[in-house]
This record gives sequence, C-alpha cells and structure tokens, in this order.
Amino acid sequence: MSIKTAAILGGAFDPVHNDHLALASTCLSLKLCDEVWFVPSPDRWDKTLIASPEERFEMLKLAVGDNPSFIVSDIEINMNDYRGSYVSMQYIQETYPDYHFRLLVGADSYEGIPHWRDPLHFYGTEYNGHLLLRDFELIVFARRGYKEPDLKKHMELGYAPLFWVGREQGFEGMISSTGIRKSFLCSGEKPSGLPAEVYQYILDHNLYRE
Amino acid sequence: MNKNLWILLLCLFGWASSQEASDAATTSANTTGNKMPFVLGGVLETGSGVLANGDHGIGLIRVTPMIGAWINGLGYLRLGYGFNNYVQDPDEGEKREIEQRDFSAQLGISLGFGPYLQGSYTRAKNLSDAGDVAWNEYGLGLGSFFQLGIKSALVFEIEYRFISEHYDPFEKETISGTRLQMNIGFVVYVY
Repeated sequence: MSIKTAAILGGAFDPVHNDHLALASTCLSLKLCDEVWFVPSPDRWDKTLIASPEERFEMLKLAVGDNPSFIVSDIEINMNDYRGSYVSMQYIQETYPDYHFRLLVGADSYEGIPHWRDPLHFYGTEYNGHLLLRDFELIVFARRGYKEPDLKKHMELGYAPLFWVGREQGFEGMISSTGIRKSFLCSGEKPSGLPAEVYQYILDHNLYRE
Repeated sequence: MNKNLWILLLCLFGWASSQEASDAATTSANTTGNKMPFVLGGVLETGSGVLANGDHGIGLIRVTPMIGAWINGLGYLRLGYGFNNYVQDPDEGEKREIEQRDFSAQLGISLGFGPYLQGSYTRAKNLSDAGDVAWNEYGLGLGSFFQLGIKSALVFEIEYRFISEHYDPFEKETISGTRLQMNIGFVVYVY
C-alpha cells in the first residue's frame, strides 16, 4: 500500500476564509501533498475564540464542500485540551500510520516555533518547538509582512525539510480571520474572501456580531 | 576548570567537614543567635560529566542565588533561581546566544551540627532562537555547613546528578547521563 502525504492545516478557523482554500489548492497543485487536512483547534489557552469548536468545524465542512482531497478532521477538537502542534502532530501520526504528514504554518508562526511548548506539562515549561522542527516536515506559506524562512539556516540546525509556498508559487496570503470578524462588526455585509456558504452560516447562527 | 582546582575544592570540603565535626560537641544551634531560620545565599556548581550546555567534561555548571530556611542540627529547605546569558562561538556555523534559566529545590537533613545529606531537583532551561529546551536534574549528595560568624556560613557539597533525556538543537543529539558535582556556596541569616 502506498503511503499518502497529507498536509495538516491547523488553526482556529474563526472563521475559515478563501485564503485557507487557496492555500490548500496550491499545495495540491505543487504536489506537496495528496490531501489537505483541515484540523480546527479546540478552545485555546492562548487566544479567545468567538465561535465554538462545533461551529468552526461546521463552517469548514461547508467551505470545503465535496472536494475529495480536502478532509475536515475533528481529531484535535476531540483531544479537548489544546496542547500545541507537536503533541497534536504526534497523535495524528500515531493514529494514521499509513500517512506521511507535513505541517502547514504561516511565515508569521514559523519564527516563533522554536519557542513553542506544551502548556499543560511541567507548568508550561515543556518546550517542544525544536522537536516539531526536527520531526515533521513543514510547508511554510506567505503572510503579509513576513519574510521567507532562511532555508539554509533551517537545514544547518538539523531540522526536517521545509517547503515554501509564496507569491512565486501562486499564493499570497492577504486575508485574515481577524479582518473578516472586524468587517462583520463594522458593516454586517459579506466580507470579501469569505465563502458564500460560510457567510450564510454566520448569519443563520448570528456569529461575530459582538 | 582544571583538575587541580577540582582537587583543591575537594580538600576544602574535607577540611570544612572536619572543622564542623570537632566543633559540634561544644556548639549548639543557639550560637547563631538568630531568631528566624531564613537565609539568603548563592551556590556555585562545578562538575564532571554532562554539563549544562550539553558538553561532556569538567566545568562550571551554574551559579544559583537562593533563599531558604536553614536550622542547624535539623536540616534545610532552599529554593534557587539562576540566570545566565552567554554566547557560544562554534568552529562552524553562527554564534549562538543562549539564555540559561534554572529553578532548583534542595532538601537537606542534618547528620550532626555540620554535615548533611541532601537531595535536589533542578528544572533547567536553555532558551535560544534554535529552540527552547528544558530538562530535569535529580541529585543526591553530602554537604557540610561551615560557620563563618554569627550570621553567615559557607557550604561545601559533593553531589551526584542524574540528567534526564532531552534533545539539544545545537549538539543535534539527545543528551542524558550523570554528573559528579561539587558545590560551593554561602548563606547569610536574615531576620
């Protein structure tokens, strides 16, 4: 049996927007993966989320539609406690041994990975960002205002291979969930970059109005 | 740190222990004249084995300021927090700026007026742009308390440390092992 490569796109998805979908499509077209798994996080210790995990999961399913290469997974939501990407990636890899997983992260997040930690272990001093860099391949995507990672330095430190998805590869991260939420607060009209199905879900469930 | 200094420290420890043992018969805890057993101080840790930067050898481990409660003839509990920033300049690659942070807790049980048995725990951290790393150290040892005056004392300790497994992003290898330590410190009674 051939091993499939899946790119894990984690995050809050509060709400999901078109850049998430464009990024996933770009990764597939560049053959960086065979599938993209959208893995929404549970409620988090480090940021306040507006929509519930169930609502964010439902919005993702609506946005993804019936694309067979896009998988929406509740595996991290069902872990209940948010313990950071390294613990999640380990758990996902152990649960699906027939897959080869890569982690999708924004260029803004990449810079902070060496300082990531498991917040629920050893009073938050169980640092594991360097283990994430060592054990899992990354697909780093462009974020406005953040530069491309130094691939040479990354490899010198003995970390796993890294792939860059930026403007040259056909992706330019311009939309943010924060911007969409702000747009809702200001006008209530459909913000650009929000899938129509997700917009309707937000209206039906009266989200992002406070 | 060279081996001669290591031997000198060992001799000092032995001398201090013998001094305290001979004094023990004629001295009591009351000679400190202190109303409360609270102490401030610091400990310099040197050792042979796995060092704090992941190297193997002989060298300085860390310097740890501490506070605690110390009752002569009974024992002590002390807590320390050490911090040290340093730069490593390897033969290959870029310079490495590392922030070292260590929290430690030590419990000692007196074997008389001077000597004591001690157990220690340290949560050590090396923070850098290459990756933050934290690990545990557990130690068992023997020490001696050497009164300098009414309100101050030197401490000499020999300790065997067990260093838990952790990955060092600079060495690019998993580190674990043991270390024989010699600690020199001082305490001042405050009240």
